[in-house]
Order: sequence, then structure tokens, then C-alpha cells
Amino acid sequence: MEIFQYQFFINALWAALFTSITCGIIGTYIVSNRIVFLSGGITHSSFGGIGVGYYMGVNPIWGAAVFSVLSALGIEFFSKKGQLRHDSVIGIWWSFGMAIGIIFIYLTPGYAPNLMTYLFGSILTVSQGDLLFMGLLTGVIVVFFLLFFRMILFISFDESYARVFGMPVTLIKSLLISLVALTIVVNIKVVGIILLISLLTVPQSIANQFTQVFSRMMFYSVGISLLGVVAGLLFSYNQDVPSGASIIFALIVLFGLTKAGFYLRDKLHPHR
Amino acid sequence: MKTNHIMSEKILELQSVDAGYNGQRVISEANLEVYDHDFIGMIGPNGGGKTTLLKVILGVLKPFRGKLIYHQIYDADHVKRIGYLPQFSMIDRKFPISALEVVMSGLMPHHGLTRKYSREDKQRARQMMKRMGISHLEDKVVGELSGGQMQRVFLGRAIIGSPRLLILDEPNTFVDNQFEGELYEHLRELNQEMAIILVTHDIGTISSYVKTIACVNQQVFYHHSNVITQEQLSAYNCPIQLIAHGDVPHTVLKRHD
Repeated sequence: MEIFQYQFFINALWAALFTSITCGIIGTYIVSNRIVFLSGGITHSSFGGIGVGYYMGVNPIWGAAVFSVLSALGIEFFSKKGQLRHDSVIGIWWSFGMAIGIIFIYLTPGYAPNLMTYLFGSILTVSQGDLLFMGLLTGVIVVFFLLFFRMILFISFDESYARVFGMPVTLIKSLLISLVALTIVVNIKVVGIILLISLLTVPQSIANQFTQVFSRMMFYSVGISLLGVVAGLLFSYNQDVPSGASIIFALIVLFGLTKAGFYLRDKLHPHR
Repeated sequence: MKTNHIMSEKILELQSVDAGYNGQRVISEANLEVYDHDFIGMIGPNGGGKTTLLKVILGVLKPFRGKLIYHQIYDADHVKRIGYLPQFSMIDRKFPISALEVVMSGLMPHHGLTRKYSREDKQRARQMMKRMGISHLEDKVVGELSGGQMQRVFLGRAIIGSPRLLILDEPNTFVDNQFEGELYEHLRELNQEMAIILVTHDIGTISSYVKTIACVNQQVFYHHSNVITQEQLSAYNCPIQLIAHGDVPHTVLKRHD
């Protein structure tokens, strides 16, 4: 195919790979621990950082990185210290970040270029610099999970049990939620703030139909999201529709197909 | 039962402990001593502070006042030799983890942060599952297990590290009668090797297995026998129902020795 000759398309494929690895692993952690809403909150509050980045004339992604890590740690901190309901704190940060972003973008003189990219993503405009950043984080996440896999599983499954034996639960959880935040940041370029949560939940939900083992769920999720992202990318190229939306669309179709497949199998072979 | 204590070593003690959450006192002036081979049935009304007391004993809740003292409870690896079976409701049944992994995770405290499980660990976990009579469930995900099977898995996790003290928080909820009976027989056997604290609502059933009874309702009253009457419970300010199983409560409790 001719599109493989273009550098932007090669970049997009690399981005698809890094996205699939980071979102596949981190998303499995998110889904298993039922912190989807928290992740949505972190994603949206990072928009505040994008606005501030525009206003100060620095790369908005750096602003998003600072905002998302701070909000990830801040939500945990405030719900514990402030004796507030965890999900209420998430709601507050979610909207506060968005508000900050909108205010600062309006305060910035002139037109805000690429604003839509941050909201809806554009995998075809991923630069070499973005790829470097994504590759680096992919490495960090893979190494972290290889080193601490047993501990992560142990703490996730039964935190209070881990505390009885003096495991560094708070430290590991803080590191993990920071990795969640960074995963969100590097993937904003690919599908955008508004659609990102699906990369962290849909492949994992598909994978969960095939396996109920944490480690396998991670591997399957990586493969499934790679399939979904590349399929969405090709669909976007062929139909000339925004890539972020077509990636999500491809993933949801895949989810629907597998769900229907398992439903039919259970109907036809109820005793399996 | 008192004579037992003279020969046994003390494992831990609470000295006039006040504890609770956010400045609210749930437990006050609690004193308790636990010795090797004790089998304490811990009873008390809901909200009376049983779980709070457990948290203090487990070392995850710092008392406002008073002391928790462990006596040689740490092994050579500096791991607390306590086994713990949490309340059923504390577990996420959708979590993607297999029964074998749960049992094996009882060895986790013995490993460093980054260590993987060894071949021996896996072997030990398999043996433990065999001992619990659940070998065939190795690869099952916890969500697919029945209440009784799940409690066996969690009991396996609690004792795989050979604890000196085993703490069970209401292990008889959501399980069938058959498992409950088997559980108590397991505990009786385990009591040869370790002290046990069993938290329960159902004092009627356990009274023949436990050696002593601790009544927890803001304060802790230690009853040096497994026979207790409704009058004594009232005297301990412990308003719980003695649940009879086809008999009058007092008779049920006194029939065993």
C-alpha cells in the first residue's frame, strides 16, 4: 500500500505500538482495580495543564504532564485528608481542570492552534519527539511491571492484607497512579482527552472475556488495542474521518463482535 | 484454661488501649493477652469494635493511647508470624486472580519487593491446597468459587506462612453448614500449631471449639472459659443473641466442655 511510504504513517504505526503497550498494561491495572472514574478525572483535569501551557508559551504536553500527576496524587491526598468521598473529589478535580484549561486558552492572545488535537487526538500528526517520549514511558512501564508484578497483584487484590505485613502499599500505589497519569499524557496526542478512557477500558474488557488472569489480560489487551488502533487508522485514512474517533469505533465494534461471539457460544454449547 | 498459660509463651498483649477513627473512640481501656495455643472466640454486637480491635492486634491501626506489644512474633525474615483471614465482603470477587495465586500470595511477605515466586513456593501452595481439599480448583478464578471454596483458599493463604497466631474475621458468613463444620475441624487441628482468634456472631456453634471467650463492646471482657451464659454476657455488657441450634441457648453452650 502506498501509505506505507509516508513518514507520518510510519510514525503513526510506532505510536500505535507504544499506545497499545502503555494502555494495555496500565488499563488492565485500572480495570482490575475499578479506578476507571479516577482515570477519567485525571485525563480531563490534564486539560488545565494544556491551557496553562498555551498561556505560558511552553509545550502544552508538559503542562498536561504536571497537571495530571498532581491531580492523580492530589485526589488520593484530598479524599484521605479532607474526609471527602473519593468520587466527589474526582468530580471536583475533573471539572476544575477543564475550567482552568478553558480560562487560560481564552486568556491566551490569538488563535489556539492544535486545540482540537488535544481534545480529539490525531495519531497521524505524531512527531518524532512525541515518539521518543512515548517510547521512554513504554520502557519505564514495562520495567516497572516486570520488577514489581507480584507486589502489584498482591496489593491490588487485597490491600489491607498487604498492609498487615508492612508492605509499602502507599508508595507502590502512588507510583502506579503516577504511571497512570503519565500514560494518559503521552496518549493524549493519539486519541485525545475526551476519547482516551476507552483505550484504558475497552481492550481490557474484550481481553477479560478470553481470560481472567491478570498477566494474560495485560498481554491480550496490548494485542487487542494494537489491532483496534491499526484498524481505526486504516478506516480513518480510507474514509477521511478523524483518527481518534475511528480508533474508538473500531475497538467498540470488536467488543460487540466478541461479546456476541461468546453469547452465541454459550447459547449453542451451554455446558462448556 | 488458665493453667495453659503458665506453660505457654505470650505472643502479644494489649495494655489499656484506646483506639478508633478520626478521633472517635471505638475501643477504650482494652486489655488482652494472647498465648501460644490459645483459641479465643471473639464476640460482641455489630459496631462494638471487634474489627477495630483486630486492626490494632494486626498492627494496622495505631492506638490513641495504650500499647500493643508483640513478643517474638517476627521470624528470621522479619515477617510478622500472623495469619489473617479477612471478612468476606472485603474481597473483590471480580478481580482476575487464580486460587493458586491467592494461596501463594501468603508467602509474599517473605520475599523482597521484587522477588518472584520460586518452584518451592508453588510446591508449598499446591500442598496447602491439597490440605484444604481444593487441589482441583488451582486454576479457577476466585470469582468462580463458592463461598466455602473461597474461604478455604483464604485460609490457605493465611496459614501457608506457618503463623504463630491465626486471626479469622467472621469466616462463617456466606458459607454452607457443611463447610462451617469442616472449617472448625481444620481449626481444631491447626490449634495444635498456632494460637487462634476467631471473630464470630454465632457463639453457639463455636463454643465447643474455642477455649476462651473475649466479649468486645467498647471494652474487652475476657472470659476464661468456653462456657458462657446469657446472664454473664449481660454482666460483660455484651448484648448479643445466643443462637440456639434446636435447643435452649444455655443448654447448647453448657452441653460441651
